[in-house]
Amino acid sequence: MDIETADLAEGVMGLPFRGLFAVNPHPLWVYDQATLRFLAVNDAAVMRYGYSRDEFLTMTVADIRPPDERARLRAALPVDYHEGAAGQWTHVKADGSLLVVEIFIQRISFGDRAAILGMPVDITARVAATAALHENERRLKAVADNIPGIVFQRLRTPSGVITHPYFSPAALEILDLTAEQAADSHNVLAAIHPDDRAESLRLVEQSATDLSPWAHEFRICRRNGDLRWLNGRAAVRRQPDGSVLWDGIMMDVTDRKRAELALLERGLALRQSREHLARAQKIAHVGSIEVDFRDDSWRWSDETYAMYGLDKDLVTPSVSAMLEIVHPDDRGMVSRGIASARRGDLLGPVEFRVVRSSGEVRVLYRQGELIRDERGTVIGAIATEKDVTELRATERQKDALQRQLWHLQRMEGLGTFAGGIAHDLNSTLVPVIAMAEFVQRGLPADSPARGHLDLIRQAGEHARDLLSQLLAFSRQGQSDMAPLDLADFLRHSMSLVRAAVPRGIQVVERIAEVPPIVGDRQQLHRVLLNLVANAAQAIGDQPGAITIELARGVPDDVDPDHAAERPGVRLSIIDTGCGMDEPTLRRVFEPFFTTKPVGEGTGLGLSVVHGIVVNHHGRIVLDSEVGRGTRIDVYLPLTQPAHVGLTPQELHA
Amino acid sequence: VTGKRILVIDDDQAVRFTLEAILTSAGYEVMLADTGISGMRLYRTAPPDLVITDIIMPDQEGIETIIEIRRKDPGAKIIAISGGGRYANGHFLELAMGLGANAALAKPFDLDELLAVVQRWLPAAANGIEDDRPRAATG
Repeated sequence: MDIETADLAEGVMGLPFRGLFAVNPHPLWVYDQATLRFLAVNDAAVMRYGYSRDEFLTMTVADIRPPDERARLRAALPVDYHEGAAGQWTHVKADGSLLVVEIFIQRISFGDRAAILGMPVDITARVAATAALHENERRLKAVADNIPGIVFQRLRTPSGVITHPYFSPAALEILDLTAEQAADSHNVLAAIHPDDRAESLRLVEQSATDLSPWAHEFRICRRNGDLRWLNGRAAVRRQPDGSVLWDGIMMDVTDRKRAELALLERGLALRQSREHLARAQKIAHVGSIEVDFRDDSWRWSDETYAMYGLDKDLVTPSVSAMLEIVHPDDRGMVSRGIASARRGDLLGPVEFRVVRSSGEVRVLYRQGELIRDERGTVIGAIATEKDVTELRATERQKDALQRQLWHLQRMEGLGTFAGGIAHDLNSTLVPVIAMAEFVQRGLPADSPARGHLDLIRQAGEHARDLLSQLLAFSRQGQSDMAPLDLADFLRHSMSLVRAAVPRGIQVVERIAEVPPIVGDRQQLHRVLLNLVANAAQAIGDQPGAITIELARGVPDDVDPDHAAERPGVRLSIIDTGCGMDEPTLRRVFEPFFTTKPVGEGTGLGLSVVHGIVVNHHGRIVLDSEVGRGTRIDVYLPLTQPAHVGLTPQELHA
Repeated sequence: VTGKRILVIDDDQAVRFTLEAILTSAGYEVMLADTGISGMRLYRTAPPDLVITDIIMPDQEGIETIIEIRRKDPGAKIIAISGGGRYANGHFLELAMGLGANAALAKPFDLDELLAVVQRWLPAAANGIEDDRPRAATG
C-alpha cells in the first residue's frame, strides 16, 4: 500500500480502519458512488484481481465486469445502496478469467465524496460446487426417471414396519400401482408373485439382521395378469434410531429372463435331440461325420468314435486321424473320396475297412452329401457310416452256401444226365466193339482191314471207359465196398504210382498205419492214380516232388470237440507243381472242366475223384497257390467210431 | 450148326443185328424180338434153348420178361444184358440175377465175353469163329 492511499484511508476511515483496510486478506476497495471510479484498493484486491493499483484507480467498478454484468449494474443503479450484501456478481480479472463474488458494501465518505467500501467475497468454488451438485441431482433424477427399473428407498422401523420413502416414477408403471397404492407397502408386497413372497420377506429380514446387501430376483403379477421379472439389489445401513434403510434399484429383467428360459428350453431340446440321435446311432450302428472344408474341421459322432475304436477324449477328429485307422489297402480309396468331395465331386458310397487298435477289423459303409453355401460353393460334407461287418460276413456265408448249392446242383444235374445217356450209349457201343471184332475175325490174317477194325474197337473201348467214369462220377457205377487197410493198399499201389510218374519227379511216401475204412479198392485206386497223374502234370518237365501222405485226421472246419465222434483218415497228395488260381480251384471238380489243351484231357478225372470220394462219404479239401504247388487232402471216414477217449457217459449218451 | 435156338430180345436194332450175326456165325439159330411182349410170343410158339434179353426196354421191361419166363419154364436159361441204369441206383444186372437170370453181361461186351457166356449155358454149341485169345470168365 503506497503512502497516498494509506493516507487517504487514514483520512477517510480513521486510524483504526486504515490498517484493517490495508492488510485485510480479503480484497477491499473504495469507489466513488457517483462515478463508480475506484478511489482505493488494498493489496489483497491487487493480488486477487491482477490489476495494479494504478490500473484500478483508472477504472470504474463497471470496468471489471463482463459486458452483460455491466448492463445489470447500470440497471441496478442508481438505486440507493443498501448496506450489507449487495448480491452476486461476476468480475473479470486482469488475465481475463472470471470470478464469482458476493459483494458486501458500506457507504463511507472519502474526503468530500460519497464513496462505497466494497468487499468482494470469492464464491467461485462454492458456486461451481453447487452447480455440480445440482447437475448431479438432475442426472440422478434423469436416471431414476428413465431407467427401465425402480430406484427406491426402503425403511424398516425397529418394530418391523416396512415403508418405501422413495419410489422412482417408473415404479408405478412397473408395479402397476397408483402413487397412493404404492405408499402402502402391503400393496407392494401383494404385487409380488405368491410363490416369491415368502422368499422376498425372508431376504429383507436377513439383510436387516446382518446388514448384508439385499439381492433378489423375483416375479411380480400385474393386475392385468402380466408377469414380470425384477432383479433387485440394495445397499443397507442402520440409522441412528435403529431403523434400517435400503437404497437400491429393481430392474425389469423380464425380457432377459424370458430369453434365458427360452435358451434353456432350446438347450434342453437340443440336448435331448442330441441324446436321441446318439442313441439311435448306437442302435443302428450308424455314425456320422461332418467336415468343414474351409478350416478343415471335423466332427465325429459318438458312434463314429465307437466304430473307429477311438477315445473321444484322446483323439481330435481329423482326416489324418481317420486315415490312420483305415486299412492300408483302403486308404487310397478313402482319401481319394475325400479329395474328390473337396472339389465338389461326390463319389458314390464307399466301403472300407478300419483296423482298431485291438487288431479287430470292421467294415464300414460310408454315404455322404455335400454342403454348399448360398453361392453354391462346396464348404463341407456330411456323411453317415454304417458298420456292415456282420452283414457282409453273413452275405459272404450266404454266397458261399449259394455257390456250394449251385455246384451241387450242377454236379447232380450232370450225374443224372450221365446216368441217363449211359444206358443208350452202352447199347450203341455193342456193335462198335463186338461187330468190329466179329468182322475182323472173318478176315484173312493179312487183310489191312484188320488194323482198321482194331481202331474201331479201341475207339469203342475208350468210349466205354469214359462212360464208365461218367457213371462212377454220377455214383451209378457199381461199387464194391469192403473194409480196406489204406496203408496196405497204398504200399501195394506205389509201384503203379511210380510207373505213372516221370523219372524226374521224386515220389515221397509218408504212410502211417490207420484203422480200416470201408471202401472200394478199384475206385480208390482210380482216385490215387488220377490225383498223382494230375500232380505229375502240374510239375511237368521241371524237377519236383510228389508226396503221398496217409494219417488219421478230419478237416479243419470240423469242431475239434466233435472230431473224436467223426474220426477219419486223411490221404494227401502234395505236389511242387505250378499250382492253381482261385477260379480254377473253384471249378476243378466240375465234369469236363480241364486246363489241358483240347484232346489232352477229358476233364473227367477230378470230377470222378470227387464222385468216388462223395460215394465214400468223404470230403476233398484243396489248397493251392500259383507257383508253389497244390495239396489235395482226401478225408475218408472210419468204419467204426473210435470210442477210445470217450467217457462212459458219452458212450451211453 | 448146333441145332440150338437162341431168342434175342432187345429194343436196339443194332444190338439185335450184332448178336444175330455173331451167334448165327457160331452155329446157333437166332430169333429176334424188339420188345418183351413180342419176345414172349416167340417164346411160346417156338421155345428157345437160351434167352438173351435186355433189361431196360419200352412196353415190357426185361425184368418182367425174365420173371415170366422163369415162371413158365423153371429150367429156362436166361442171360440178361444191360447198358446200365437209365435211373439212379439201378444195379439191374444184379437184380436180374436175383430174379432168375442165369448170367448177366454188361453192355458193351466184346465178342469173347459174349461167346463165353453163351457157350457156358449151351455147351454143345461148336465155336465156328476164330478165337486166339484167352476166354473171359463171365456170369
